[in-house]
Amino acid sequence: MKVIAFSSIKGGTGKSSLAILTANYCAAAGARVLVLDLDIQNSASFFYLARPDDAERRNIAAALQSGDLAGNIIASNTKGIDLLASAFSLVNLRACSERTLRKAIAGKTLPYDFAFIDCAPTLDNLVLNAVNAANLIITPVRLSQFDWKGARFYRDQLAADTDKADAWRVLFNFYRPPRSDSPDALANQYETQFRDAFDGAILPLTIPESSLVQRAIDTREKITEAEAKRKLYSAIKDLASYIGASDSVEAF
Amino acid sequence: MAKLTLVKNPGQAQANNSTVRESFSVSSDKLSQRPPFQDLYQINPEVLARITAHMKANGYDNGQPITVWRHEQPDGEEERVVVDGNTRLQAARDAGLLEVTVIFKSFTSDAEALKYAIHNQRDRRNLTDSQIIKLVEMVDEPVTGFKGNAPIARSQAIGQKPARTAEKTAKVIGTGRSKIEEARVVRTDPEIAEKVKAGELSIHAGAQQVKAKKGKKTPEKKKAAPRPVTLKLSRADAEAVLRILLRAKASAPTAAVQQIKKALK
Repeated sequence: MKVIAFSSIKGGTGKSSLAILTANYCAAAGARVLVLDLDIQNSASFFYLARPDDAERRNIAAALQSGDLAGNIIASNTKGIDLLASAFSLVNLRACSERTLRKAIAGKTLPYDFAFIDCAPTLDNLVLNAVNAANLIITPVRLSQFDWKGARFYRDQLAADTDKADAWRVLFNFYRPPRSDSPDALANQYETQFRDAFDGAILPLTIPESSLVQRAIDTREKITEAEAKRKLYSAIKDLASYIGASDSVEAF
Repeated sequence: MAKLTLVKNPGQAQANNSTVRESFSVSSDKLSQRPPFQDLYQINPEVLARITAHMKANGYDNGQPITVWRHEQPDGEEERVVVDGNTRLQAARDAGLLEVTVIFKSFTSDAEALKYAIHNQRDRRNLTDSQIIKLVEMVDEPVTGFKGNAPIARSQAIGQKPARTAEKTAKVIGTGRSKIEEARVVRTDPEIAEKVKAGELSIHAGAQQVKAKKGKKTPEKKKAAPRPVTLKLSRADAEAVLRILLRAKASAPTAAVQQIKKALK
């Protein structure tokens, strides 16, 4: 099972949306997917919960407390995807051991190809649990100075607190290609700053700015190869492929 | 135009990760009522009239939402069945209210929803024997073959003491184990069970009648079995006891008289 954490210290960078879209793509491609919602904002749980009450007793907080992941997994409303849902009691676990999740995952063979972890926009022990358990940590960024600062802080902390610095990647989200070659154009200045700071950790793909992301999340509009949707479709397909799901799908 | 998932499925809002539960105003026409939830408790006409009058004057009280199980049925149709709040819904309809406040809750089965409804109600009401026996009928699952105890192997496996099934039922309904056991006795006789359901007999009185009918001795009629007693007496005392016993004649235990006579020889 490959574990992918979507994590950043800054909020609003697209962690939940990209985790959901990529998980949906992988499941549509036939992979068995587990989504772990480690954020009390519970966006991924809100999206996936077939019945909200399901998460009352079985959820990720109970899983971390007991070390029993399998017993706390519930079915989602999406074929091929199961869920370790968020719970309010996560707030009581913010100081839990940083390796609880890693140990729980290592201890059991879970029947999934991919596990996507949606993290809260912070850096506490819950985030470190996700990072320590992950094979790949993706920090989506918007090209802005605040995002740049957040990504730098995050990278430095990963290097200081974990052995996962090499597994960390930056993903340009809400991306609009520069319209000019001039290095003074704002878009180019941002890109230069990010590339200088994070060279080698920047993913070789970008997620375009698109209102379709919100529609896909909030209305469950399918993303297909249709002309108007092709850019986002290709971007998520590339991301899924980077993660290891290479099969093509018609819609997700 | 595509609709937000929250519009298509308002119950989704329940996934709010806090202790606050979202309630919704919905058309009372869109709620369905059916057994076993509908006839879990008989609606008390006086209570209904009081609530209806209150609703007519003040509208629906949002603090008292109706619990609705919203789920897809096997035929693909959605059912919004009232699990708890049948009296309130009836009152709202009688008061002519078009909308009521509901809270959506999900269950895996009728049985699970029923247990929830019973739990909700039992803490709110003083159950009469007539209501208790009806509830026993709905939820009691006596295990036959080992006198109501769970197999030891199973209870050892889960590290718990075997629980009597009557105890489990008692816990669900919120009454005592002996009451359930008596209710089970009553249920073996449909005629007497009907009388208890109608409130003409208590469960205890019903159980006594069933036992009497079957010729079983009821606990009150049971006589204590004689217990042998050995007494060390002087000859004079033994003779005195013998005199007393002989004077008592018919009621004197003959075995004791014979033994004393034998000892005095």
